Amino acid sequence: MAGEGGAVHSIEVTVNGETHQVAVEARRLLVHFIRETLGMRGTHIGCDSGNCGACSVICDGQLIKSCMMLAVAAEGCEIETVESLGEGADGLDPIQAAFKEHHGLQCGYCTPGFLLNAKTLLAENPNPSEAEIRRALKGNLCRCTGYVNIVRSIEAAAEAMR
Amino acid sequence: MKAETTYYPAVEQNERLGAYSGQSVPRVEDKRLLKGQGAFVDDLWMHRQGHVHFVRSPYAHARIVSVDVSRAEAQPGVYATLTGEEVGVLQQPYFQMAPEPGGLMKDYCMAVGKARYMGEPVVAVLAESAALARDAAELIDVVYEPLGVTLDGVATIEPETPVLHEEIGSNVAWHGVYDYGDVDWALENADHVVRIDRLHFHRFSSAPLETTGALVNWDPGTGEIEFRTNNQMPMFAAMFIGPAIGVGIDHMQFSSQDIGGGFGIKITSYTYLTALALLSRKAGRPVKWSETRWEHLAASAHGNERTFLDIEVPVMSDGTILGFKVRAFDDAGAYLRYEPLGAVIWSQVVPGNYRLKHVRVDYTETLTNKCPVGPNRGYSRLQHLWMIERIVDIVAKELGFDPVELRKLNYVQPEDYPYETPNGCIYDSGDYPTMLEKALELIDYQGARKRQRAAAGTGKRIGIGIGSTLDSGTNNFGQSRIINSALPFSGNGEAAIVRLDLYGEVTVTIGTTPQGQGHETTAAQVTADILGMSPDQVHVAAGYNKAANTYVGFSGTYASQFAVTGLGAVMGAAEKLRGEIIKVGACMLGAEESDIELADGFVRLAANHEVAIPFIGIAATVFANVAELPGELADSVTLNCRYVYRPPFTVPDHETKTGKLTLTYASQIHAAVIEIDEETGLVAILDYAAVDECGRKINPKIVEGQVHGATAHGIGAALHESFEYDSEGQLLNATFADYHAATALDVPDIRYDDIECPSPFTPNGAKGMGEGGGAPLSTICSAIEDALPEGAHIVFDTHNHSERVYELLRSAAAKGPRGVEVESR
Amino acid sequence: MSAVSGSSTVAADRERLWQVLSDPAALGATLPGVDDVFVEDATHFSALARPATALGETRIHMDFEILEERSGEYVRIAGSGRAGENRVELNIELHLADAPSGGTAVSWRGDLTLRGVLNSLMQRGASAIFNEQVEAVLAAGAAGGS
Repeated sequence: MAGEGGAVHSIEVTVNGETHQVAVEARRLLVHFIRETLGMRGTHIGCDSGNCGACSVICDGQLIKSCMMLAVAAEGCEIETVESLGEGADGLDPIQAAFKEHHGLQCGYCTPGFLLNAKTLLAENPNPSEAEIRRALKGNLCRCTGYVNIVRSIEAAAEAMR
Repeated sequence: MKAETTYYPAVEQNERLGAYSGQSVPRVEDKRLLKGQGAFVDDLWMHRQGHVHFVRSPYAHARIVSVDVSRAEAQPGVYATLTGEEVGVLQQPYFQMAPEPGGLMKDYCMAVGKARYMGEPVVAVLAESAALARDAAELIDVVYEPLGVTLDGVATIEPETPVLHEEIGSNVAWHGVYDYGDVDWALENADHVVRIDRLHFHRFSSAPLETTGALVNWDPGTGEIEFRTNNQMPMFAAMFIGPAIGVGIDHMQFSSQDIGGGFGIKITSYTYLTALALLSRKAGRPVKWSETRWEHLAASAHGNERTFLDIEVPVMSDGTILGFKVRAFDDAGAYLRYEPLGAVIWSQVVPGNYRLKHVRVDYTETLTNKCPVGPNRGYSRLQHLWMIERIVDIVAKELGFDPVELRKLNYVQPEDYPYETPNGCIYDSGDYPTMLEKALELIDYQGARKRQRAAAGTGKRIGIGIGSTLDSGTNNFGQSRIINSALPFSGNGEAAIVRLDLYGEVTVTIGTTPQGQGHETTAAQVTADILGMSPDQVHVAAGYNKAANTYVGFSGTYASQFAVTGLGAVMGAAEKLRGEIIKVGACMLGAEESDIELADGFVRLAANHEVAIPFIGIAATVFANVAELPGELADSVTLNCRYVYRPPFTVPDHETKTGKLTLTYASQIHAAVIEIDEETGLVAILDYAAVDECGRKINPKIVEGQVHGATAHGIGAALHESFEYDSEGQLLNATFADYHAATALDVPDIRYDDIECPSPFTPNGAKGMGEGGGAPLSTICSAIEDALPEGAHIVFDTHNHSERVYELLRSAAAKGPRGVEVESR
Repeated sequence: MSAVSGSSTVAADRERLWQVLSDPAALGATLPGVDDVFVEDATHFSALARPATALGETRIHMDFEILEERSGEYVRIAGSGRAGENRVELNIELHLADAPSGGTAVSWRGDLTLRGVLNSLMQRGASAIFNEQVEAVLAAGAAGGS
């Protein structure tokens, strides 16, 4: 039984601009591929049913939950994780800077997912209303902030980016 | 006040706090967290580690007939297994805080002989990968003999009910009666007695987004156990683990850096840590475990579920509420763990926000086949404070008082502080009437009443609600002796070191385990103020590390105390260091200590700023050039200043169940306007306001963030989150697919205001805050009841999903019992 | 506990359908998602099945006992087993009758009890998935009978 899920496939995935060619088990989830195979720890796991959004990444321009995708299904895709945001060791992009200024994070566990959510939202809708922001955030859970400062951070980021 | 009341000594406020303390300094923690560079426990890794999977009981109550791990162990890549039978030999049962008979409970890190709740760990498997461990788990054959279950926290004490722990003989873990004033006299002499049949506080959890996890290595060479884990009260964990497995606490190392939320749910994980340690020793490898979400919801810890029966409230004709009498049943689930401390902790707030004098609480702690409870955000006070707010609203409605005026009449008044409660607790400061006014203003109370009238007949009903609550902070652990006089606990404390490193770097370590509260930032703020520099010149170590030697028995982050205990320790240590720096500096500058000031990382003459030595000069002299100092001076300074903050507690009285149980009393008053859809019972929040008072705020933005978060937890619990067990003890909502954690669509924008009533009892005037006090639970119940038609049943439960609201709406027409009776004389 | 019930008209003669249904081993060989059927004796058999569930498959091993049967008409079966750490129990009775327009009218009723996290995950889907399994068995029976 051990290794039964272990039919191995070679996949080529681009993550944050870097292309990786790796052999993965068929059953390996994309989130585990990112965290363990590639060693990128910014994408988090918060549930086992695709509800919390801590694992959110951008796949071919679309916000997805990487726990709901198999690594093999990411063959040929371009993935962006939280590590792609901001420039250099110190740089924060406008969304990250807004979260910092408006206390949009406390424990930080949900934060990478929210940052990527905000990024895709603002790319699509540069001037969202509060209702539109909350609607977009529906798939990401936060247990610390009560969402109030997350919404304010995204509003501020939108204004800064316009 | 009685002449013989003694309060705490007033504490001289540290005058140096000011430049940065009180400012919303941006958080140091943010940069790494925003860049995904936080170090949470699942991010950690040790060479040769194996991954753990726990096989868990599918039954709520079952005898474990046999366990066969042979097929699993035969699999390549499986390193070891650990069964309950082994655990029963390898571990002594955990120390119990309850006196006998509850204290006879045998609690182990996994099920030994019997499983007592669905999800209880039965076997542990260690394998090369988490996936292999789960594969191997399927090959483990466990034969169960299902037993009858008991699931009702009140009925569980009846004879003929299946007993969870034979050693105890019943499902009563603890019982006691708290009796203050003379409630019988009050009931006999009051103008009215309001009787409420039953109120129920439901079972839910703060469910942090990061689940429990650990990387544990029992080193065969040194015999030391290293725990890298997100437990939020590690020394409490150590005190339980040590005796259980026969390892000295000096042989245990604990560390964590970033923790993804705790809220009290990550306190009782010492059971899992024990299992991991035993497995590590057996396998001779580090073991890594990350709890899945369903495991967290079913088998980490739940908040206390409490039922209140036969509540009697004596009220005078002017609306003065004299007190109340109640029978409380607290459902602890299958094991006690942190219980029965909850049986006394509620008494930190015996009268709630009010001047009630006559209170009797007959309190029973019971056991059922459900997940064991843990000190969930607001632990044990939430339940009691909610009951009191329900009493106030129900009294107002039944006797025709305005709920705002009734509260103002009965509140502890601003001029009453320090206020001694019926059991000897001291409320330090506050101003509830002003806070209530502010909350009502934020929701435009008058306008809301107009909207309410205008909504009549539209199919929507508008309700306005108020919730008053307290967040008592900095516990006196001596209150544990009220439930068990033999317990060796009292007082509280926290430790910190503020030191100069070799080149004069100002460094702070603390015994706390922050989970997003911003300790690195606020500790830097107070240190900066005391040493005369800016916070970015102060380096606060991230997270917790036992090896830093800044801990006492109660170290950790829980119970709304950091601003007092944590910062109190940091301030004490910073003051010590300040004194040493000035001493050395004065000597080196050939001046008197009174001529010296500290500014911007320099020691200098107050009269001539050019004459100065940077901290690097002080440090380099003491650490590498000490022969240049006079011997007496060199012997008296280390520049490594450890301080333990000790709140001025004495031991409470076990016989009378009185004493000073918490040092500070922050408060929150909330108000809400809600709208109920008559067809569906769905509740929408139209406006929500939270007003906070927590003494002097060190970082206002962080404080406001905590208020938002606690409010969201409360709203989530009030309308969306409730653990549902079926009649067999199966947890029906064991994943986030069915346990509806509040989303950005469920939590409204929160209107916020605050006042500051500095505590006279703390070194910085601050009060602990963060747990919040559960005001939304009261506020939303209050608003729903306000919206219900005349003659409806009272709102009796903290959880009001649409089905329950639907029933409440229709209860008016049904003309059945309303859950409340009034006797007027 | 989920109550299950359903009915189906199967395009096969009742007696022949009954014959196939009475041979669990042969039936198991034709069922999709059933790996193994072991017949112990006339009233006891077990099966290892992998019904499709939303996120893939769920491996279930069940032991069955035929409690009551009237040849060609009625059977009552009790089953218990496990899906990994979860426990499964089911009780089901099937009625067969000649369908007015040809073929066999089959109706079934019973209850399915899951214990463990599978119960939470499947609480809404369990009866539907169970009915799918029954339909699959009947379809295999019909195919075997023609």
